[in-house]
Amino acid sequence: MVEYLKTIVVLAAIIFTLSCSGRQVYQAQTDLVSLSPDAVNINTASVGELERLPHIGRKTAETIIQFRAESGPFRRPEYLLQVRGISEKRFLEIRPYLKTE
Amino acid sequence: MPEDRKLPNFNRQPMLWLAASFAAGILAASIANIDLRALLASCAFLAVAAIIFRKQYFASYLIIIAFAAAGAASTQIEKLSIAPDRIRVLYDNGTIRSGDPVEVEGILLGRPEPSIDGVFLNLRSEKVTYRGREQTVLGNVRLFLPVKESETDIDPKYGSRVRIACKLEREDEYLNPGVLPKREALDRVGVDATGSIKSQLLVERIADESVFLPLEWVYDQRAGLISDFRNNLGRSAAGIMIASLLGDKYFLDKDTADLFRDGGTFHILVISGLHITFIGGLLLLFLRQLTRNRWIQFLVTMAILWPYTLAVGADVPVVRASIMFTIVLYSYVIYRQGTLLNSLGLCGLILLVWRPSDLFNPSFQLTFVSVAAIVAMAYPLIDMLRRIGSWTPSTQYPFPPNVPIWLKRFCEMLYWNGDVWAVESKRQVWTANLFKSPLLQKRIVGGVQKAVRFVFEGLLVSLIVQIWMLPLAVVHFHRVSIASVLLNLWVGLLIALENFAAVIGVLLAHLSSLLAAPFFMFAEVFNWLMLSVPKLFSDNGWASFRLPAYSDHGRIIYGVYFLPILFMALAINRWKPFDIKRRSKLVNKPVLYPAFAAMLILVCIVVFHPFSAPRPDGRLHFDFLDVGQGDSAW
Repeated sequence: MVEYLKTIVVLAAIIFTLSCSGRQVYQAQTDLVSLSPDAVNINTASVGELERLPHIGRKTAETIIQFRAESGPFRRPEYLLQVRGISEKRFLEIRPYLKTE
Repeated sequence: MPEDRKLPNFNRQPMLWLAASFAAGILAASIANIDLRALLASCAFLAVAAIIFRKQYFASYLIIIAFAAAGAASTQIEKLSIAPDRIRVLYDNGTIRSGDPVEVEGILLGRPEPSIDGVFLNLRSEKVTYRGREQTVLGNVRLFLPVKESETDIDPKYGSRVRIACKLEREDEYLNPGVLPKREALDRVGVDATGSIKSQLLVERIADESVFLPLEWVYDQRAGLISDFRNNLGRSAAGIMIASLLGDKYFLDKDTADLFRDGGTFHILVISGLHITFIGGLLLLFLRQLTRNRWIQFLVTMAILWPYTLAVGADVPVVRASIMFTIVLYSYVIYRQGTLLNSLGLCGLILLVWRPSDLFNPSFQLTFVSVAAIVAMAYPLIDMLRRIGSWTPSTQYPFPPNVPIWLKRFCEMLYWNGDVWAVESKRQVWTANLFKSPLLQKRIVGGVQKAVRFVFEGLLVSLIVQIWMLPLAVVHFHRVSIASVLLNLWVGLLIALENFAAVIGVLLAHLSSLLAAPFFMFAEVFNWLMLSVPKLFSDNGWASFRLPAYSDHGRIIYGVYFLPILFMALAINRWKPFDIKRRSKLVNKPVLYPAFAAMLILVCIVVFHPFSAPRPDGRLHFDFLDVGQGDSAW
């Protein structure tokens, strides 16, 4: 019985040690998008600059500025989706023209 | 449980008493604010006193009081241990406003849970960025990510470190009176805030942290099974299978879920003792064919049962059932007989030590009260009836049971086996002519007797559980289902058959869809049959009725309700049907009859509300509610 228990404990320890996977770092999706040369920095852009983006009117541009003022700078361009009126489809169309730094 | 046995000079359910005193301590600490140091000091003092006076009879009482103090201390520790950087604290003190956009960083606990319109992500948060300011936080958040039906296999996996932009909420919205406030509901399940993510693009996978690979494998298998059920069964059947076997209720369609709720059978969909006993029992049956080594049987069963417990969400009922199964199986390994009440007490103690606030969790209350009803009242009663019905003369019980003739005849109808007696009497040197129920002379077919016995025992267990659960059903669900006494049996039987057919079908589907098809068809038929009877009750308004709950001090009634029930359980356990010296023939009349009468009165008070319903004064009354939008509701 003791031999059985010893074997089981050793096997359990080996399985436990081998069962822990390693850490893997992923590259953020942001860096994989090819940016247009005239991309707009959404953290510093004015209403006028934002208005030059496709599908962005004055009202949406103002909403973006207001959101930025209340919630702080956008860490990633994708965070623009949080702004009311920016849908995923619209965002994907303007994505190449957006940068955050 | 021989009734002539002398009472032992030790308690047979010490864990039950310790758990009860621990729970009493938690209750006391939740009502009154007791100083933690005083509690710890009294706990230590009582423990030392119990050791010093261990040979005195009152040492047991000291231990019980010490456990009550420990329960109160653990509650205070739990209250004080809420760190100031917990997400719930930040929301409650207004540092972060509920509904404002935040960025939360953390590690995914478990695989994203698929549901009909998206997936749920459970995140152990580590950082929150609010209005440009990043801070370290603690606490779990639950986020819903809407994704298309075909995209539920999303990028972040179990153990992924993610950064998510979302809107977290922890604010209580207006709820109807009696409905659990959102904050309380979240605290009970250990979630600090909930939220929804607008798009998958807002989920940024940063890294993959170390994970326990077997657990990841279990999560993957669970997701695979969910997909298999959904692909091979109809919506209703798949939802029921996923809920009852895998603990995910998001796939239940509204009509089916309402039928289960209305019929008082929703608890069958909650993975608990029934499932664990079924799975553990099957495993044990299989392993016993392979090896006689009990340790191997135990370890292999545990190695499968506990990952299953984790995979289905490790909710209180399933953890309770797994602990209880582990204890009972361990007692089998060491050649002891585990008492169910003691095991239940140990389960309660473990769970309460782990998280004292679980005492107020409806899942905890429902699972423990229902199991207590079964092991404290239903099983002992059935055991007594069985022994009355199957009585044959022996040296220990030479005389027939001293119970009313109608009861004796009824028990004989259910449990008497003439064939066993014929074999038994041939072995004896003496002869005896037993006068059993005249109906038995017609030789009830064994199968019919077994079926009647099964139905009777099932109805009895169901009825006793319903009686015990009445206050909890009123308080937590505001609904009482009388039909559930019958429906539990029907649904329980049919869902077991459906589970069996569906699981075999899924296993065969990996080999051949042709072989699997009949099993899926059977599963659908069982599903239709299972739902047809509750539907009949529900459509005719017989399934359940709504009940208001008492509030404030009136709630004491729900605690008082259990006193006569406990007396009745005690009377049944102490019933001596073979004691010919006693004049009382049916249980212990001085205790049972007043307890039964008190219980009936309390049932009436709980159901009919004689003290709280206002008398109609013949005038029409309007109650206006200002909802703050220049509008009102009445």
